[in-house]
Amino acid sequence: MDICIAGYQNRVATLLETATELRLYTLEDGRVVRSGMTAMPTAGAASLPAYLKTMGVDIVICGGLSTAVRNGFEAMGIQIIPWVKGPIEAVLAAYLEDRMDQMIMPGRSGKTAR
Amino acid sequence: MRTGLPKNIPLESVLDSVAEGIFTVDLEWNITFFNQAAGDITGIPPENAVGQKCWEVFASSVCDGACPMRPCLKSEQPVLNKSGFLLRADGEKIAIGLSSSPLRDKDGKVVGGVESFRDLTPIQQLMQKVEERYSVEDIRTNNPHMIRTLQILPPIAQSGSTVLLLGESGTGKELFARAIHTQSLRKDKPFVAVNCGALPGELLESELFGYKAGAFTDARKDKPGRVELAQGGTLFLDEIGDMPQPLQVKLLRVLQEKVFEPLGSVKPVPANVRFVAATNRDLETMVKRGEFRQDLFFRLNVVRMDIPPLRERTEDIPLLVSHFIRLQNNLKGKNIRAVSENVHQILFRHDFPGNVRELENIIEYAFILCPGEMIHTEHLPEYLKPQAPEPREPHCVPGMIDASAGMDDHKLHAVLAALDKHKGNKSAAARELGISRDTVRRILQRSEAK
Repeated sequence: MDICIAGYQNRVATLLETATELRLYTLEDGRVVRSGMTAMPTAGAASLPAYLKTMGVDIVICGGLSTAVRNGFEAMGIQIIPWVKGPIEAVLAAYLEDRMDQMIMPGRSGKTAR
Repeated sequence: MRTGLPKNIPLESVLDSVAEGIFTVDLEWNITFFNQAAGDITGIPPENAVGQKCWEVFASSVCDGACPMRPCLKSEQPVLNKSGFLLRADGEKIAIGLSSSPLRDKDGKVVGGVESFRDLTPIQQLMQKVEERYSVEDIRTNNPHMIRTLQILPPIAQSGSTVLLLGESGTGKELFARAIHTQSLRKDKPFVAVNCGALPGELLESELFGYKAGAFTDARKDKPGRVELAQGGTLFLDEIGDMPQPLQVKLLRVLQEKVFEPLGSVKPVPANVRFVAATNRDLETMVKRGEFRQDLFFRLNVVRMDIPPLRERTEDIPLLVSHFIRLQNNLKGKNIRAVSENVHQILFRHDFPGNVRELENIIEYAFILCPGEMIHTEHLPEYLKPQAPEPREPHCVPGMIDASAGMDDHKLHAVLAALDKHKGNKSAAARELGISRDTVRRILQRSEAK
């Protein structure tokens, strides 16, 4: 399974639209077997669902995202975990340990969408 | 003279009473105060905000890399009147204007910063209405087909290819065209729209390609056409199916050779224009009947986007109703919150021959009559009111329409009922239905052809 964390410097970007880099991880049996990084496409967040679909990404972990972009991910069958905060390594560890509820921004719901 | 607050009035209560959002941070970017307006605008209760990192609460476009507080604290000088947007917890984008100032202790030492921000949504909506600058996110939908279409819009916009938009009147073809332009590399150049059905052939030609002085009797000086005005940008050809055949040949040449000749000119002018065309007519059938040039159709049909009518995406009605209510509240300074359940039911049952534009007109009409916070059936236009004659009742339509009647029959029925009500006045009927006079004429012509 491939996941993508939308980052700014070493933390999850506040918004998907302000992310500067996309950290990509391939997970097998609950651990990371491959990782990489790519820049945010110049066409912006609206183009991300199609872009990440072609890269085979199954799950996107990000900060805030607008309803329109969220709908786009849902249409592509990509699961979204939104409103996530914290250092990227800590977020990845939380995901692997199934405790993402601890990484959600205050006052928001990180309810996933598929 | 005393200038401070009276001792018995806490500063927090003053800050909580202002309309601007205000919050303070310490030097570690932890929020130390968050006023009530900040909570209202962001959708985050103050008690959840205090103690958190500011970017985790504020969630704005300026948080990553463009934060005005950073240079403010570095220079110890205020940074004023920046703009951006923040994302509410419900995913709604809010345009904001913000300013940052250093916060000093009684010895003058900077101990943090204070940020104030305003919700600029009403101003932004007014500007948007004036400038007609729309993006993908201005197209509101929960419909899977529309979402898929919107997904491919950004790469299509960036491609620079000619786009053909197909959909009934009022479905938002121009909104799509504008979103394609805004999302394209030509976004800083002009977006020029031409309605090919609104002008007779000769006028349309001079409107499109312009003319040179002396080209005809009244041509006293050069006049640039819409192609010229759209140089570097996008030319939106609405109602392309209504373009006369002789002009279709000339347009084909522009598309093929990227040059055009103003009337009376012998010198071709390069056309650096991206074309987006739209129609509510069935171009393929028109090609088969010889009413539309096949070669032009193929040139236009590079990328085709179908926009479904509102009756095929009824799940969007509540979303659009909320959007138009918000818009009208901002434009009219009212505070209407919702429509009643009965109004919802009426809207769900309605066919919307005028599509989204008709729905927008219905809400605008209701705003005129609604004095309170809830739109009820009595605030709806006459033709939607339950006590008004149902569209299928024979007395308002010459000729019976049975339950198996097609969409064309229902459209004709609505048009005839509106014409009946307005004593045959097509403009008034069109206004009531939220469609153009041309559409009324076309619906009547189609029925005559049958």
